[in-house]
Amino acid sequence: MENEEFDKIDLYLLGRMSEAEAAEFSSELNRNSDLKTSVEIRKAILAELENEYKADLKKRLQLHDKSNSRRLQKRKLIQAAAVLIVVLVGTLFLLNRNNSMDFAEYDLYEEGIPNFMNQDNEKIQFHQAMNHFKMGDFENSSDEFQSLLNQGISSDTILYYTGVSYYRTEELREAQNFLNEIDSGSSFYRKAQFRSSVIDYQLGETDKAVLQLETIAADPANPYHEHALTFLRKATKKQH
Amino acid sequence: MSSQNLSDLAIIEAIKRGSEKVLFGLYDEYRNEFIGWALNNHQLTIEEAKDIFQDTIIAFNQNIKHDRFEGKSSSLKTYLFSIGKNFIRLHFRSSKNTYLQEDLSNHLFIEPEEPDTHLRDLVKKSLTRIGNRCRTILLLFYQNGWDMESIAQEMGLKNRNVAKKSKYECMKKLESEVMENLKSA
Repeated sequence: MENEEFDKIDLYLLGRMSEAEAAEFSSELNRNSDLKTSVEIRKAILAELENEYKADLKKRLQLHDKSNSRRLQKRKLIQAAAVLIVVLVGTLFLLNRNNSMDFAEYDLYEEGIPNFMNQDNEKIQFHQAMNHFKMGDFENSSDEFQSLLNQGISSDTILYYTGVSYYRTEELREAQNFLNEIDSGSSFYRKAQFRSSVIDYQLGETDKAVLQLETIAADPANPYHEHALTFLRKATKKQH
Repeated sequence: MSSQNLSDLAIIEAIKRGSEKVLFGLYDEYRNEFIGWALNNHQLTIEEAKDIFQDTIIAFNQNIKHDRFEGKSSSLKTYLFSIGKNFIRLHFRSSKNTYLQEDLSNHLFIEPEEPDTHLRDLVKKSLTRIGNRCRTILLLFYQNGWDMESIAQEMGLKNRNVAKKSKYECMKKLESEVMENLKSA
């Protein structure tokens, strides 16, 4: 009975009664002063709960707003930082590019070897390759020089020009393999060693490259002593 | 579930079930638009516009829960903005600014009939005495609009019947407190 009255008050105050039920309940209120007091108290409680809820919701909305603003601010900061990083990386990249070694400077001038008339087949092939080399057609010259090597015709000259041809088609590792095959007694040896050191540097093997270049630079009799010194100076400058 | 991509009907249902995620989603969705509109059309500061929009959301929430939105003639957004406009009018009226000539009679928010101050004070005092658990159960049921099943889960109660019994006992406890205070006053 008590429960029923409890629920009825709720239904009445929450507007969940039918019109007829609400009218009947209202007239009961007029007759029953205890019930009327109970309704008044419940009504005051519901009003206070609503006030509490609204005040709490307001606080939470304010906090939510603040946290959203902070999140937005943080996002803006992150975006700004990202832009800054991109600008910095771009600038560093450009600076680095400007400071980077210009390896073309150390690609020694190669005149090639003069051609002679009335040669045998092997020499004709050699001169054909040399012609391509002198014309700057390094794709063909590398193939043709290597073809001679494949035929078993090996000489330090062919090894050297095969290496240089590969170097100029940017096949660095291949180029180095041929250059390193040149015997220490050859007139091409020191030139090939210098080139091989530059290739090491280009391939990122800087310690090895620097060591070799220092050896070359330390020997004033080496024709590439000056080249090595210049290279090392620039390389050191770049690192700093 | 946020309010974006939900139909008006789905939003209403969610708010009635007490989904604050949807309510806060609605706040996020229309906050900037409302503030921008309020600043362009009225002499308000950003803080005032923000404050008004928060009050608007609160009133909107109460109106939806009390079935005061019929939704036949307007969308939920139009309704929300109408409440906001009325709050702006109220703001200027309370700050004695008379430049608004519009009709103030069309209030889209209805404040509940206030019980007498003495009784309100007694209720306030009594609410502090029933403990947080009871207070939460009452708020969840009467204000958040949660069903007994959800309240049972939230409060770690065995089932909906236990939740219903707890709600009953809490309200009885509160009413007795108020009654005792009334008698001794």
